[in-house]
Amino acid sequence: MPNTPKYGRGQVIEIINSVIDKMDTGKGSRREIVNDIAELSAIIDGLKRDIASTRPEHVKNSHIPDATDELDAVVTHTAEATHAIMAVCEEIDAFAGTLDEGKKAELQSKTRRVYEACSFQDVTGQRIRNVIKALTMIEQKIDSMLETLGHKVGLDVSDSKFQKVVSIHDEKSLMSGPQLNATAISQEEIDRLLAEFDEK
Amino acid sequence: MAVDKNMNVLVVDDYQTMIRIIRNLLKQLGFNNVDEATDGGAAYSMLEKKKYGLVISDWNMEPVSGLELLKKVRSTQGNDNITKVPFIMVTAESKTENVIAAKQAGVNNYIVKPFNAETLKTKITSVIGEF
Repeated sequence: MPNTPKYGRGQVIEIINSVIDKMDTGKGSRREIVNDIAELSAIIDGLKRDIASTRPEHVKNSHIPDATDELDAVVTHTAEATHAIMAVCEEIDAFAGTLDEGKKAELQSKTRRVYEACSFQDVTGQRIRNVIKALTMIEQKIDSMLETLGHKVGLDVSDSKFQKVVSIHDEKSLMSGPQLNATAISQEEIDRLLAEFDEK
Repeated sequence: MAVDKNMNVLVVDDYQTMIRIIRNLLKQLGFNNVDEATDGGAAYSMLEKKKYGLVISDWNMEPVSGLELLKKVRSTQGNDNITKVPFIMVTAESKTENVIAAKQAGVNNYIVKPFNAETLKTKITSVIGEF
């Protein structure tokens, strides 16, 4: 980032505390307080310039909408392609119905494999929708930030991390779509879990 | 008791692709009377109007999710056709907490997406019996 402030967050807080302390105790001279405030003002101006140079309004107005549109299109097109594939399979199934049992079964086993493979569209569709939700949330954050500061440019300095808590009593926390490998459990594990319930 | 393949099956999913896949797989298994709904609310209305031998439902749907549908089904008073309908959850939600929540709500079996025809057949058999 250009014009990176030479002050860290801790130093800025230190200056603010110093100003407050001087004003509370009356120990600092007026000149010292003015100097501290001028220093803070310079930091803020530098920060504004840096943020403005990243053009957050472009991210909000162009990059994110473009990305979500592209992802929407991926979902739509893969759905159309999947339906086209299945339509052909349905025709093959119908044709299989006119054949003897052996050939019918053989053809149906082939179309069954295609149907199974087509389920990728459902899972990838959900994953893409999750990405779109995340992008929309980022867009809203940027929008809120820009609105708060009017046409100036600001920054949410909060660095606290949001920790998702999953609870069986909070359905919203359970609905996060397909899991990444690190958090997913297999069908076999699900079966074992269900069996444990039945044993109780 | 032998399973009546003419029984009505209700498939609930907000993705038409998945409804179509399950419908075709069910057809190959011999189940031809398959209805569909795209969320839990629509599904429950259908359950009130018609007797179903099996519900195969997705979880993540709006406005009424599969879990909400399941809870409403199991808590229905005075209509055993609804309360006791065999219910299989077919979903991409594969966290341990999901399975526990579904089981506690009264699900009969749980299939994680993507799945294959053999898994679907096995789970249906475990819920309604050999066919």
